[in-house]
Amino acid sequence: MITDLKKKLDRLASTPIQQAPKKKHDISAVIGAECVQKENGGYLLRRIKYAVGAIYGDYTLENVEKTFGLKERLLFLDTETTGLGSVACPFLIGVSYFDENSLVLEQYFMRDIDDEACVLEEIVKKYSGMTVVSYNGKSFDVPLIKARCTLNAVNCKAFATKQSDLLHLCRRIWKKRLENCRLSTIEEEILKLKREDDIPGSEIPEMYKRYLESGNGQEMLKVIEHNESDVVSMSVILCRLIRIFGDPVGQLDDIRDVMHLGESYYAKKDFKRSLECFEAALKGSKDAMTSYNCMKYISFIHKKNKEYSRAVELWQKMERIMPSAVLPLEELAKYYEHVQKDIAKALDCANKARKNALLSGAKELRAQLDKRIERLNKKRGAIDATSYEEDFDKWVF
Amino acid sequence: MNVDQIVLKFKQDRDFMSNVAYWKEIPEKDPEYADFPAGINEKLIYALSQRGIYKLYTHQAKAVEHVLNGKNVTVVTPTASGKTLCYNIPVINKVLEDSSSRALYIFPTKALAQDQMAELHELCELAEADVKSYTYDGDTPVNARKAVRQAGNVIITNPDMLHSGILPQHTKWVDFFENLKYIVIDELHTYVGVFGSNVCNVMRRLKRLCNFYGSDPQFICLSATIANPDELARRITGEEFEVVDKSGAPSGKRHVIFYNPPYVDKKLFIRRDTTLQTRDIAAELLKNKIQTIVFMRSRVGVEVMLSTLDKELSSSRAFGTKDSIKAYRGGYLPSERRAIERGLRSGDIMGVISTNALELGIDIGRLDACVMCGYPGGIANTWQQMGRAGRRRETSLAILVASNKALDQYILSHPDYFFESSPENGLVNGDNLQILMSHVQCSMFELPFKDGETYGGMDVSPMLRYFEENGTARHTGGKWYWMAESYPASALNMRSISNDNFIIIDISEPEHRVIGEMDKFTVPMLLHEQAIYMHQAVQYQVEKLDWDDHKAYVRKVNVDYYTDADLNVEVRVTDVYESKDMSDDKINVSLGEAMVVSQTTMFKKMKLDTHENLGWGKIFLPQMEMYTNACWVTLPESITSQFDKEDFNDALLGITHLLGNIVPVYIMSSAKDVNIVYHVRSPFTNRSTVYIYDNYQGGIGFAEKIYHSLGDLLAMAYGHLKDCKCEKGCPSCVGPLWERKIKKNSLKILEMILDDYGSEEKA
Repeated sequence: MITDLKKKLDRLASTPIQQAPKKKHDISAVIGAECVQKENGGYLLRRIKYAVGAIYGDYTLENVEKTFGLKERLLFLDTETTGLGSVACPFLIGVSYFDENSLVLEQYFMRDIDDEACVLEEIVKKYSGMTVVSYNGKSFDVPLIKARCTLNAVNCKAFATKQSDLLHLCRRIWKKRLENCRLSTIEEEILKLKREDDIPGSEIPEMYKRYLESGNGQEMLKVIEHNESDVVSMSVILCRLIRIFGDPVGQLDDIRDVMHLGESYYAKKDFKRSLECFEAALKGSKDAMTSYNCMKYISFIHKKNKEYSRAVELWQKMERIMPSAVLPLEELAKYYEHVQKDIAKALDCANKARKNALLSGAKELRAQLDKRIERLNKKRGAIDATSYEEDFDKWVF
Repeated sequence: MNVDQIVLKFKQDRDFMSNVAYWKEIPEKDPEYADFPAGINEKLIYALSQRGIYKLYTHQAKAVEHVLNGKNVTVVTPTASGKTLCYNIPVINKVLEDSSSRALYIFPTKALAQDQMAELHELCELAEADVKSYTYDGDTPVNARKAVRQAGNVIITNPDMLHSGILPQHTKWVDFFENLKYIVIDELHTYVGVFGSNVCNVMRRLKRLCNFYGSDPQFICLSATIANPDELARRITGEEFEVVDKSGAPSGKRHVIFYNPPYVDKKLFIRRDTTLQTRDIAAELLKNKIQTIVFMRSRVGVEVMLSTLDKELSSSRAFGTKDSIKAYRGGYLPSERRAIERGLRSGDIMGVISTNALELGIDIGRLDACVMCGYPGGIANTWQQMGRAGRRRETSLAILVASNKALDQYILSHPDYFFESSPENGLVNGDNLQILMSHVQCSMFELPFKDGETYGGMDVSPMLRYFEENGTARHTGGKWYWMAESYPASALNMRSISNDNFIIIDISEPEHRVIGEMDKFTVPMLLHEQAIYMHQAVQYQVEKLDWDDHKAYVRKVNVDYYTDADLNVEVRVTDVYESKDMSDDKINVSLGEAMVVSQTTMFKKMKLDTHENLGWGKIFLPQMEMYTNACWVTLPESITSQFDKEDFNDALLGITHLLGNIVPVYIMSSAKDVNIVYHVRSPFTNRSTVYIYDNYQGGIGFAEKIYHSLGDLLAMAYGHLKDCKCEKGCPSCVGPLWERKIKKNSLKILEMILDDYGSEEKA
């Protein structure tokens, strides 16, 4: 094994290196791009203008900056890379931005990986200062571009100083209902836009490698069109998201989406918005599970606001909907113990909760309840004793 | 009692003294001080004075001076000589001067990194120096990493993390690399063998990145006593060094005793069991309240010792609480280890039984006495182990209890060899082809290679072209780019022991619990099904070993035996580099590449106290493979045919046993560096063959060394065998076979080989 390797290396060492540089493939005609030559290299640039008002599934392309009166300039961005790792080369960088009544798409394609420095320089120069809108770009595309800039000694400090990642926003609403929150899934399920003849993203690195070998532009055209779809539909999704977040109840048709958005707000401790979502979802709910879940959150928010009577009302309702549940009974037990100081009632609820926990086989829950019951029993003893002492005092004095 | 009193007691004990083969008193040494070198910030001098340090030891002052003068420095010091100041002073000083300065501290283990952090923090606080120091390793929470990267003046890490977590992510560390002033490599002597060869390449990659970011850091290396600290530092870092090897730290008087257990069977030359003898001596020390560390040769040994010692001491009224002796070894969970280290420092733990895991500079304070159960296998690590005992002012004691092994007996009968010769060479081979290639890939991933750019001073273009041919690299625009989708660093293990550990799960209770972990290569020996696994003297039996998922399920048992697995080793030659026939159709000596296939096939059950064999069982586990370099001796039919078949087999076994003990002494290596096996009829040579091979994937240079001086080695072995006082062979020479002819035949075969080498080489 080692010896074979040694022999091979010796053979390689003794044959002269091909000094002639590799000839770059020219696929500009196939992909419809122009060849840009700069002092320090070059690349292919593909530029397409999309007219505002074009149909995208159930929606239309809008100039988001104008529609919502945004002050910042948006730059939609997506990259295709030579590998899945974090330090792969972004051989295709696609961006789009609004220009009056159109969305301008610009795609920078590296004919070979040594075009990288030139592309990065151009991108940093041209788009610094804009707000980068991406799909998972906060953790992937932007750090990658910055890392590659560092490697190529390109100063990128002013690039992507402000960012918005659509993936995170989509997850807040659709994470639970949809199988996943990939861009293509959102397109299909939310925009109702079906892509035709799309390629799986995981095959792209291999395709670029094949292109480097063969110079075949047809496959690259598919990659470029894939990237194009991504960059363009991002603007439609952003538009949709701004509307949804402005008026979730009015904009979301599926009541579960409203509920999930409520959960996201809850997790982010935005209880006011969370409450709005849950109350709307509860109103529109047609099944017991959704109602139960909404009530749970609403009750927690009431509890946090110390509006106990409203919370108690909900816990009692929840118990009626789902008599086998532990949570409402446990909450009631806590309420009676700590707020009402009614130990007997608290014990009654805790015991019922324990029975439910026992039936459902929830071990930890049961152990917790055991502790609560033990404490309550002790407290009851203590209270009985003090009340006796009080009586005694009264009687003596 | 204190150590002086117990030493007196031993001296008056006639039985004890009759077994002492050698007793050396190493006198105490007074401290030698020097003033602070010029250029040290006053704040720092004040901070040191707060800790009672008004002057430096000479070696500290010298080291700091070299660093301040811009030199790389290697400091060779005994344990507890205040070596950390050698680097903490210049580093803090630099940060006080320029708060953007960065330093990188590299320790071989995470535990050592934690110790260092604490010490550094204390000093910085006293100096009111805003030096931000953080550990950056597998335990650093992901959400804290960004802050560490951006703010840390001192980053404390280990080579594995540097390799897989820092270098490949260097674009996130721009500020760090740009301002890197010092690289501190502590415990340099541990970076030998495969691990060292890997670390050497990690340093090449690190320096390449520093160069890219325009920094040129200085190196500060610290090493325990080895023969070639300068060479090792140079090889690992590729830099030139000033060496500071004269310690100015004081040391108390030290007694070193070589103890040979008495014969239990004078005829068979069998000495009393080393473990039992060690137990008795350790018990004597502990009963007299002497804080003692006992070093065992194996993990099983540690557990066996703990349980027998525990039993011995519990019957003694003089010895107090039960928890005051502990076992310490690899495989314990970090929290358990930390608790033991604390207990030793505070004195709550009186005795600790350890493998070489405690050889490293883990802070356990200083103990009074050290007992070694058997020769640790090398001069350097013996000194390291003895160094665990000995405070700065008081007398300390180190006792080596010899085993029946030839190596132990050789050391006892040649104490000069131990005290006079220099300790082992630290060998690394950063140019080991496989290691080199893996790191060139990593380095290319980190930064494309420019045409004509060298790596570690070498032209690696043939390698880059090789990578291009197999599709992992692309050459374009005058640069070589990494093209594969995978992350090359993740495919490479830095240590000879693989990082993918098995976890050990106790299923005695309904709630399962992880009690330890073990590396993949040790698992077949200690965690095969039915093995008795001991953990803090509690016995567990392995019920199920899930090889694919790396889990061993164990259950508590209470039995009076331990298990001992047999390792079957087969050597398959894959290539011959060089070969020489001693004379026509006679003995052949060769050097080449071999695949070593090892497999555990069966285990024995051994009674705890008497080590009797109580039975055995089979083991079904996959075999392990290793490519390495080997040197082998093939014997012709003309020799083989002179012996009865069984006699010949015995003699080969005897010679293998003998060489196994002589080789480490001869090539100045540690016993585990080299392995020796024999095949009565080797499938490759078709004859009787003895193989000596490097116990490291890819080889590290021992086999080659042996090939070129085999005659001398065999002469030394022949001399030892001939001089051995036994009549028919004993454990100290050809092994415990006691066949009438084994010694005679072994001598005869060696003689015939040596004859072939020419009479002038004969001993």
